[in-house]
Amino acid sequence: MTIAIKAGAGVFAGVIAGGLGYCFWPHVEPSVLAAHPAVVKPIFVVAAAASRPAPAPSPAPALAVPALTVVPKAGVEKLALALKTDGDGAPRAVTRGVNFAEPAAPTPAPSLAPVSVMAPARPPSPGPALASSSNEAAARLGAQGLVALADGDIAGARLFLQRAADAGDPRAWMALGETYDSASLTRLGVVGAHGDATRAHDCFAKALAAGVGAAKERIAALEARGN
Amino acid sequence: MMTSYFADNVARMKSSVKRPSGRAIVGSVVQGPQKRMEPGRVRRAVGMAVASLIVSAPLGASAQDGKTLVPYDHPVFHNGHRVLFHGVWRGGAGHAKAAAADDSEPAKSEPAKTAAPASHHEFLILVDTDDSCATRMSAELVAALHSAGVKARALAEKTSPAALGRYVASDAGDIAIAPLDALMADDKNADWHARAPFVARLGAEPIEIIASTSVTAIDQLNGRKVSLGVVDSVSDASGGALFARLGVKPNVVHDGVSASLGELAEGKIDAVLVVGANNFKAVGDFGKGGRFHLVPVAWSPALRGIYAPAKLTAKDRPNLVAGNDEVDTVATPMALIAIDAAPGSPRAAQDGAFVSALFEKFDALLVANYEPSWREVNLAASAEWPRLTAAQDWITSHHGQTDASLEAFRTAAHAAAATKDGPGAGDADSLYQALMQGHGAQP
Repeated sequence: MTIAIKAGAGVFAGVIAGGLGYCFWPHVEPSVLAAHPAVVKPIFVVAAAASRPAPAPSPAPALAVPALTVVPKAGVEKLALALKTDGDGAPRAVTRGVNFAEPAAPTPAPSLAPVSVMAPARPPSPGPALASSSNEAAARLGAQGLVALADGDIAGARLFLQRAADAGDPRAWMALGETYDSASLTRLGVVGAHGDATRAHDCFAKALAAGVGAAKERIAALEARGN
Repeated sequence: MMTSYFADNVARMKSSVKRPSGRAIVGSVVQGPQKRMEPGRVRRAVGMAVASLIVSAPLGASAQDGKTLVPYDHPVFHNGHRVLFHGVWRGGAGHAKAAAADDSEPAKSEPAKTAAPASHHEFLILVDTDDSCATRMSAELVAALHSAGVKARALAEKTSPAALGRYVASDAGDIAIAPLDALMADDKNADWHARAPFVARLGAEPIEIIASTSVTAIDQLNGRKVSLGVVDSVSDASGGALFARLGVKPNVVHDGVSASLGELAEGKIDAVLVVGANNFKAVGDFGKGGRFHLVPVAWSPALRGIYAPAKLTAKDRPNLVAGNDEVDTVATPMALIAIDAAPGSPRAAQDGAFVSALFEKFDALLVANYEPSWREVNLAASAEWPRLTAAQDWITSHHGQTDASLEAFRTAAHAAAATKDGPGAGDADSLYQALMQGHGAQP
């Protein structure tokens, strides 16, 4: 029903526009009618005052710059580029050599070296002993990673925990594995980010190899889920 | 003069229209000009009547419900012209209806915000093109929104706090990809902060400082010329915040990244700081001669609370990191910021369509060839910054109650973070223990 009303309104508007055009259309020479308009595509420009002095001004005349070139030096503080879309709706605009329509090739994520789960370097030992073996800097980094994890900041938590693990805190491998384990992410209330079973397995395996006995159960749980 | 002109014409016509017998056709003489003049008058009269109807229609509608157009309570400019009302160029009637619903039925408007309101609005996403990672993410975000039936467009802009403050005042966009570190370091009393809540935290982007190999520590940049990109760029904002935190006071200069790298190669400046430049070709190609490298940024307590430690390797920067070396640096968190969307505002309600499309179609951003940092985004992550009402409502409505062990973990983490020196080694034990409680395991 709504579409019908809109369509009717559109037709009505078209009729009105045509009628007005007919009523007020001036007599012009054919040569004028045949001329092409100077501007065929609109450009979205946002004007705003600069909060700080602009860098060294360029003598280049701003108005002579092509529409899709951003030249802040010329004193044009705010020239927003309308990213035109193709017919299929995909964004198509290029500025400074960036093609919005075709994302660059993915950067391969760094992978952890595979570690044998079935052959830990030494038997698991209890947590308190591991804590005493960790240096304070590594423990502090790990604690900050856990604070980030509690806030849901997965990216930040991984960076802290990776640094802590590299610095010698084996528990950080365990917590890092949690950030890749989809079951743990769900339990932590994460929305969006998915787990990575391979990386979770690697991290738990490193934790197990470093003596964190609880990692064995986590590896078993991963494998039970088919990962 | 006019009378004589027409009199002359009539006389000419009379003389020119005659019967074959040579007698003038008097009736035709009068009728001829009438046939040529009358249609023009009728056309113009009809046109004026229709135009009057069209002009008076909105006024009548406005008088009828009184809320077709909602006046702005602050100066708003669009394309250089001051805009006085909502609904004139953005949002339209749907926008006005949303505002009216908020005013008339505040109790019922809350569920409506979470119910994916249909929107014909085109969301403008502002992104700094010097931040190539954010630029790529904006393009992918636009594509994902299109696939969800929401119109969106990415605009090359500047996204520093100063720039965001201007956008809030000028209504120049809807969403911005901005650095959280600079926002948190900005003046806490700025009146626009409450009007720029975050929609979601994004991944962390590494900060890179490129300099001559003679510069081996960041404090050696005191008093030396360091380019932070163009004014109000992400590099400018985050670089300034980083130097302030570390107590380093370089002689800051501003220029585009490519131009700055050229000046660095010529020895005119001493360093260039870039943020999120992992896809920036000019940075990737720079330093092939081995004269330059990445200046390490060692982790320090001063960086706690905002930044995270990061590492860059030769795989990331083959020209700037040698062999198997690793360079320590820091990463700054990014976020999607909703512009001029204070709680209860018409813009906050309008952003509900953006939130619904993003949150419900988020998996479209997790595909293999998209920016990898999407896969680390937790839409429910919190920040020391207010969250957009629609985003909070969506999270609340789509997430059940958290279990007791998770709450205990969060409580312990917040308590540790609130201490003067931040979480310490002693806190690590209790936090690892709390994290593992949910699995019934001991660390």
